Amino acid sequence: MNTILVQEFDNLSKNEVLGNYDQFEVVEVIGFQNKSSTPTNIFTLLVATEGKSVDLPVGFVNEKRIKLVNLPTWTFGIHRRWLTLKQVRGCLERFNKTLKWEVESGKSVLQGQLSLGAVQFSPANSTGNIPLNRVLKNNFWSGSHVLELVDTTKSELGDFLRSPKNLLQLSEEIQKFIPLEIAALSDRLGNVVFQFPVESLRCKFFKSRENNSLSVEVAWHPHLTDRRLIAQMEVVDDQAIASFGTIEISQSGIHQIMPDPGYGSFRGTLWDVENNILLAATDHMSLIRETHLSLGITSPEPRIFKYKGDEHRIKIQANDHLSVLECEDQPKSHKQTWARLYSEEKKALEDRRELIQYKAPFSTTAHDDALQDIRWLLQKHGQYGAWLWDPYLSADDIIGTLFFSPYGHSDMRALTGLNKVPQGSKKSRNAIRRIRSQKPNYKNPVRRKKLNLMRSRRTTATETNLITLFAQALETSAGGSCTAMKLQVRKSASKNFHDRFLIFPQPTEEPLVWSLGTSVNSMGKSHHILQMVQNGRLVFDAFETLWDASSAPKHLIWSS
Amino acid sequence: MTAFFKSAFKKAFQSPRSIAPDELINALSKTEDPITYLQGDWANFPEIRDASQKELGHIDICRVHLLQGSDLPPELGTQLAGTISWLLKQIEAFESHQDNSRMILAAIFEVCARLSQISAFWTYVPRDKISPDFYQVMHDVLVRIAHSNSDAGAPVWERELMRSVNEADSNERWSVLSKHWHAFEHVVRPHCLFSETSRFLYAQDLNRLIQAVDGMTTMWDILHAVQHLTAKEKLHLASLSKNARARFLLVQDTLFHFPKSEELNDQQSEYLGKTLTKVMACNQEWDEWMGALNEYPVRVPQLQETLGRVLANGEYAQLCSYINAISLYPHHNDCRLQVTECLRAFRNNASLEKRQELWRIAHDRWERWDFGISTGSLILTQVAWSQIDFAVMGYFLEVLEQSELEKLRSEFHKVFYNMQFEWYAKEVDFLHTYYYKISRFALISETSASVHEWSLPTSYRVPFNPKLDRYSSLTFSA
Repeated sequence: MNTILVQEFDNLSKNEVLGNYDQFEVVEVIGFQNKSSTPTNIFTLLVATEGKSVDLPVGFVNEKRIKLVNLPTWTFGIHRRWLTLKQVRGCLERFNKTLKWEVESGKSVLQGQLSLGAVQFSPANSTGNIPLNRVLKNNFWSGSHVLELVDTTKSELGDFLRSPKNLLQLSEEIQKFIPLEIAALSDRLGNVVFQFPVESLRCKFFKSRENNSLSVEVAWHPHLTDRRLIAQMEVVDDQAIASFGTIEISQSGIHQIMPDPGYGSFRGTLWDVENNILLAATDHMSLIRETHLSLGITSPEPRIFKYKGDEHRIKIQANDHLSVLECEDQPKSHKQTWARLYSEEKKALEDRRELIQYKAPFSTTAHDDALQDIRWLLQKHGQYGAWLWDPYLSADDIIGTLFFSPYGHSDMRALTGLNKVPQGSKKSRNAIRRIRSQKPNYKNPVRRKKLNLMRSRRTTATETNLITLFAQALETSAGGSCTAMKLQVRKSASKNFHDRFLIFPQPTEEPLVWSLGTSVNSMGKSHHILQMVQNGRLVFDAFETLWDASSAPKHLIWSS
Repeated sequence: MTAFFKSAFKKAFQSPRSIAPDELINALSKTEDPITYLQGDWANFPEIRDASQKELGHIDICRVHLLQGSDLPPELGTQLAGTISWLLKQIEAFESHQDNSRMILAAIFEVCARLSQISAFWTYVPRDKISPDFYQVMHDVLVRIAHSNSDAGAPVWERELMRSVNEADSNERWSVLSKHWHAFEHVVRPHCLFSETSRFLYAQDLNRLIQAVDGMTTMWDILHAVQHLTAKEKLHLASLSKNARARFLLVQDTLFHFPKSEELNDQQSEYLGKTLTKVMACNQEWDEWMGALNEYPVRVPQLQETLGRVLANGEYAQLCSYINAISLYPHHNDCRLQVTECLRAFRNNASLEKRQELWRIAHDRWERWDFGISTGSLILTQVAWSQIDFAVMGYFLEVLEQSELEKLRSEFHKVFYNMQFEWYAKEVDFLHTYYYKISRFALISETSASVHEWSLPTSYRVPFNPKLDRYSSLTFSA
């Protein structure tokens, strides 16, 4: 491995291949812990450059250390410096001997066990966003080769891996100074990344306006001589390779790769024949073939009405839109393909339970069928945990769902508002009903005051009873063993919540979240939609906040 | 037209008989108020319309002949001379206390309205042929104008608009009035009585017209009185008026209706200049004028050259007001061209000291505005310009020392080089920064090329040749 690392470095930094690099901009995100005098490497990026800026400040980019509310023993700094190519190579050679990454001799940072990762090529973002680009610098043009020392143990970074919220906060703080989105790539925490942006040429893959052919424009760096390249493009439509083209290019200019490929997304690459290295690649790109532009006329006359005492005025836009532009007619065959893709996508969403509509007529087994969908999701995604959030959650609901998780010691949580009488024994249900039904019947003001005082005391007593009864119901209904079950049920500290979600925390990726659309107890009984939530992180954070706020013993209902 | 009327008047004085519009007078006599029905609700009195057409239609035919440049048939000339002869006799003998005076007045107006369509008829009427009573009546007509609005049943937006307009009028907020001008000015349809009266007074007794207009307290009354005057007449009246409301309305109305492709003639320009000079003496009034007429200078292209000349004598506050009123956009547009025309006239007329003062004010605003990126979420995707670029160029050329300018120019390459080392979250941020830097330096680099001509740059220089250096072009999406 040791020789490979330096070899790879030498290949990538070789003069005139990817660029004429002579400097590296080194940006280190460093954590300082109270308990240790040695800082911890959170993330290090070394960007190869030709020349260096005299204007960019070196040293700590943030004047004051970054602090996070939930990690009071940590502070963080972003440090920038310039190292020559030779100095960086020296660092790698030292790493080969000591297996410790030190940018300056004798000044070490705490790090996990580092090992060489595979060399990757990260194209510039196109229609989508390439995850690696979130931690690279200005990867907008031909792309970048990336050499990486991977922290395989992340032993110093447990505080971030255990709580993605901490990492997200740190990432947000870092972005106030430099655009490094480390929260999105928690698997790269502790890594040392070498970025070699391709500077030797610029290229543009595009569709020709004249004949719709796919072409590439290549422009070599003015200080370099043109080299032989192989340009390649493939067009993918409906998961099939619709077109493929490859040409050899010997000089700068515009070169046609293939005639009009029709519909589909495409991807292009440029291969340096002499140096056997990729010089450019695109992400999957889509081209706009048709455009619709609509005009709507705004009426000067507003709609005026009163709502809760305040006057509101709404600017009305005429509903008759005029489509004024259509570039290209869609072939009929492609419309049919789209119709099929739509049906397939709809079916796939249902299969993955990402969108299921429960609608009339409702059979007698509809509720159980809906619960089966929840159990399917628990089996599919619940390995690391499953959090159920429902104000009307009852003991039966919890047993009917979370108890079916096949994973041992998975972090399962249920947050209820106790808004429903728990389905315990008949005796316990009657007890609750009795407590709730007691109404004052005193007309004497003195006695009424006394009663109010008693009622306020009784409310607390009632709530305690409810919690006890709920716990009893869980114990009674669950009956048998709770083998390898790690479940905690809490009563929400906030009464004002109406959300119903099922959340699956993930160790390294974004959490997966489903909106139930209704309470568990009425799933499948009335019209609702079970659907996966985009940006589940926000729901995850909201649940965690409320869960933490409900951590007092009085909120604990049941714990396995 | 002058020759035509001279000839017509000559014939009228020599005419053996005057031709009275008897049928028209007869028809008018059947109405309660003959003046009300003039050019108005003829649907209820078709008799008046028919009589007018029958007895006065020959005036319109004369107008058509004149427009076509064809000779007037002799019988038509005789008829016209007879009508004018009758008109002159009526004006000379007019006595307001006579029983039929309103009827006669109505007939006079009907004839004059048609004659005024040909040219400024009243200027050819000899003063000694006008009775004192006629003068007085004409003056009284204007003084008694009282416009009233009724918004009953109108849509909400219209009611609110009129409320806003009336408020702006009473508070002398010309900038607000100007904003709504296009929405309400067509509401005013002056009766031919007012139009002819103001035409008559302008031709025969300008002081009485000024007196009448200066005494008006709402914009509606003023518009009724002056809207049918010619551009020259309005600008002349504005230059003489002591009423701030009348001054603004006369100029605004003139410029609003002035054909955009035409220029003011020397006399119109002189009147406008006098008015602007008068307005400039009052800072508050000047601020309102600038807000009304100078926010989007493309709306008033005829104002620019004169405004530039007047600004040459402006004080610091007035120069600030001028620059600050201009609405700035980061694009090259017609407003930019109009401001340039104004500033070019200013440069040609102002002293170096005054020029430097204005250039500094403009440069300060340009710096504060900073292409609007600091105040909004604007992302530059092309080189940004500003409407006051000419003044900013002036700053570089006439305020900065040559050495300072050279220093700025030399910084360009350094800034451009260092740009690549900055961090950008997205490519669009990189391009924004690129275009921002280019925009900041575009004028500085152009000033060297146009030092004598001061031509307004519409293209920009980049530190590479986009056609030859494709590498840089692809880097900067140029």
